[in-house]
Amino acid sequence: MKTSMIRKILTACVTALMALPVMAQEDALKDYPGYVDFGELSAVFGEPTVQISVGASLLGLVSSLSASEDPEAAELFKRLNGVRVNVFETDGMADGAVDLVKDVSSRLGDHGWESVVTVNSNDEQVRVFMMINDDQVEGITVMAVEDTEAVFVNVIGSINPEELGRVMENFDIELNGHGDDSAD
Amino acid sequence: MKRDDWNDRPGDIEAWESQIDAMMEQLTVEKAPASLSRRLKRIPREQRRKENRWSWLMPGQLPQWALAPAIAAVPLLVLAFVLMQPQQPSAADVEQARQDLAIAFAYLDKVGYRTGNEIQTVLGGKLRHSVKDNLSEHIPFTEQSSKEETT
Repeated sequence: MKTSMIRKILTACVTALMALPVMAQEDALKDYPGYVDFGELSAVFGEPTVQISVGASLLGLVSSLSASEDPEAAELFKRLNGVRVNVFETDGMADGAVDLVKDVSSRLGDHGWESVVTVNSNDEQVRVFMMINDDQVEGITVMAVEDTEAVFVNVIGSINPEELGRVMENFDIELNGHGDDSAD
Repeated sequence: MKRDDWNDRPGDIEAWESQIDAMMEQLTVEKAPASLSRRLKRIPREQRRKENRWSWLMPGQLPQWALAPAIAAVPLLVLAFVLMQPQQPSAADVEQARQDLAIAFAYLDKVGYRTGNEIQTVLGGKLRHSVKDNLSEHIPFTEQSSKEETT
């Protein structure tokens, strides 16, 4: 009886400890003004098909390793603090999706984010926000929800949108089933 | 002599007492074995040591059941400290991060492209019509081209 109790306590402690590094990374990103809390995305869209969270330390390493190959990308990565992506595949517009996008948009507006793009149609909801301080972009947030997919991106750090565009051109990535979208 | 009779005869009691005192004086002090003496002397010292060993853990008097989780927490805290230390990512981690970044930017690109198309479709169409509608009021040529466009 006593042993099982101690085992349970130990299991709980070890589980909590295993989650510490991830939580610590998220906590570190939360301090930046460009960080966005999207809320409970899984509650609306289910499990994400793509989930990416790259922190400052890895970005720094990628930057130093890319310096000779792609100096422009290396320079961009050096000034980024984090990149977070959550992608969900959906069958039709998920219940509560539009409300979630509107809620997050409202919160972002309250926290000083500037709305850059808003697409408000029946089959598509897109919001692009930027956090600008002293003429410097400190974060970009993209929420795009449509019938087949919901994409949430948060780029944290000092970003020059033009630079971002040029770097994106250098990446040759075909997204599953969507690679032709950008070609039409 | 019965005990009840003592009150009746105080002289006897005094005699008994003096007799007991005399007998007590005759008693010699029995020495305890040396090993027992050593053990008995060691008790206060060991007790003090035991108390001191855990005194820093227990500011007040904690119940014994609280000791087990407290002891278990020590290695866990050490493990937590080790885990919290910044670790040098491996080459595989960096490569994975590069791919993740590529995917992240691809999604940004995709959303940007779609949004751009949407804006171009909405703004382009509306602007074209609003401009042509206004012009057609004054210039018949634009009216004609507008009709051609609809057919």
